Amino acid sequence: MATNYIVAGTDRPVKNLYADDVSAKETLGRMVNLDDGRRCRYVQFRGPVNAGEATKRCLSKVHLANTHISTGPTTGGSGFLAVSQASLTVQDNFAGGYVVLKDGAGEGQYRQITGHPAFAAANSATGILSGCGIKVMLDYPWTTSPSTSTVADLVQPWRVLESTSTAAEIPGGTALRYHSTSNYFGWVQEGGVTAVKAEQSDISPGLSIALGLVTAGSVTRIGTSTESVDTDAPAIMGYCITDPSLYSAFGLAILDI
Amino acid sequence: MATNYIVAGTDIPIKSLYADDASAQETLGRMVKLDDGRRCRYVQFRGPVNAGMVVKRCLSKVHLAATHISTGPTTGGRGFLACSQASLTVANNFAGGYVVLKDGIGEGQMRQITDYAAFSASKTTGILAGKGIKINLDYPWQVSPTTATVADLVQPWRVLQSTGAICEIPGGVALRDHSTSNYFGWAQEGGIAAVQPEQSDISPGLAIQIGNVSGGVVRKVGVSSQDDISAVDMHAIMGYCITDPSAHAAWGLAVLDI
Repeated sequence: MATNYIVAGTDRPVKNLYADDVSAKETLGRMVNLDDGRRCRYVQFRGPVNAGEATKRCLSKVHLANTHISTGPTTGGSGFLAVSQASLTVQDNFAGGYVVLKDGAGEGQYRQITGHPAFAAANSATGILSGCGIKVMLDYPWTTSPSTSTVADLVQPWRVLESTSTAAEIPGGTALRYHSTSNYFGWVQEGGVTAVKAEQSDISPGLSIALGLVTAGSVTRIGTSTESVDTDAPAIMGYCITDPSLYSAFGLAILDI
Repeated sequence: MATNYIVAGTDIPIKSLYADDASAQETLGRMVKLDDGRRCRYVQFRGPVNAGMVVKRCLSKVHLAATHISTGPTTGGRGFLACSQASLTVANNFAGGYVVLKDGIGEGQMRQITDYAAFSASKTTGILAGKGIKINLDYPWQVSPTTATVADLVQPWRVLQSTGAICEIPGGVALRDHSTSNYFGWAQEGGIAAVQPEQSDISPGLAIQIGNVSGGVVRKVGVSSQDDISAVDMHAIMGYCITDPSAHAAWGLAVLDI
C-alpha cells in the first residue's frame, strides 16, 4: 500500500516524503510518483507552513541582459551559458531550475540548469566578454547558440514556497507535514488526492478550485460567487471530492498543478 | 505497442485492463500508466456501465465525530487512527482510501488507509472505553489527533456509476461493458479515450466536463452550453475533444486529464 514511491524507476524509503530538513537532501524540484496517482515535489519552504495548506511559488529569477551573455559553443558534452551576473553569488542556487532565451539569437530555447559556481568579485570586473564571469552548466547543448545580444532569464521554480496566498499568485502544491521553521526543505503534493483547506464553507464536490483570495494556505472555488472568471481565470488547481463543511476546515481534493 | 503498463515498476499483462471480475484482483485505486500517455485506475462499478461511458465517483465516506477518535501514538512502525464508528462493519472497505483530519488538533494531515478489522457489536462502547478498532495507515501522524479532532474516511475508488449529473465528480471512462453491478475493472482517467456527447455541437479543441443528464455523457464548457462559467461555479474540467462525434449519442475521442 503506497510504499513504492517511484523516482526514476527506483523505490525509495517511505519516510522521505514526510521529512523536514535544514539542508536539501534531494535535488530541488525532484518529482515522486506514487502508485495511487499522487505526485510530490521536493522544494524549499520560505516560512512556516502547516500540513494540508496550499503553498504559492515565489519564483527566484535572475534576468540576464544582453551584456551578461557571451557566445558559447553549441556542441560538445553538456551545454553551458557563459554569464556575467553579480546576482549569482550562491553556488548552485539555480541548479534544478531553468534558463530560457527570451529574445535575440537562439530565442525560445530553454534548458535545465545542472549547476554553476558562485559569482565572485573576481568575476565581476569586466564580465564574461573579457574572459571573466561564470559558466552555468546545462542539461544539453544549445541547438542555436545565443549571442551577446541575447537576453535570458534564469528561473528556480522550486525555491521558495510559502502559504500566504492570493489568487494572483502561482499555486505550488499542498504541504505534506507541518514545517515550523523557515527555509526548511521538504515535499509538496502537486497531483492526486490531497487535503485542502477551505476559504469558504460552500465548496462542493465536483467544483474546480484555485488558490484562496485572502486566507493563508486556503483554496477557493471558481465562479462569480467567489473567484470570478468574468475577467482572467486563475490557474485551476484541481477539484474537490469531499465537502470541508466549515471555514478553514479541511476536505479532500484531486490536484493537478 | 502499449504493452508496458507500469505499476510500481512492474509490468502487468495487457488483458487486465479489459477485465471484469466479481472480486477485486488489484488494489482498489491502483493506477496504471501506459506508454502512450493513457492512465487507468482500478475501481468498483456500482451499476451496469457500457464502454466509453463517463462514470462519476460516488464516494464512500464515513465521518468521524470528535467522540469517535482516540489519542494514539504518533510514532512507531506504520501509523494508525484509533476509531469507534459502527459504520465500519466491513473489514478493509476503505483500504486504499484516505483519512483526512478536518478540524482540531492535527488538522490538515492526510494519510492513506492500509487495512483495518471490521467494527463489531462487541466494540460499540467505543475506543475511549478501550474498545473500537485500529485503522492502519501508511505513515504515522506528525501531530497526533485528539478526542476533539474530527475526520473523514474516504474511499474514492468504490463505487463508480454512469448516471452523471453536472454537480457530480468525474471518475473516468469505462474501458469495457460491465453488465453486472458491483463488478471490478478499470476506468480511464488520462490520455485519449472514447467519449459520448450530450449535444451534437462538441467540437475538437473544446473543453469538456461531465454531462448534465444520465447516461455517462460529456458536454462542452462555455456560455453557449448549459454550464455558463461566467455566471456560476466552474465544475471540474475533464479534458478536451480531439474528434467531432457529429451526432448526439455518437462517440468521439477526447484527451482526458482528471
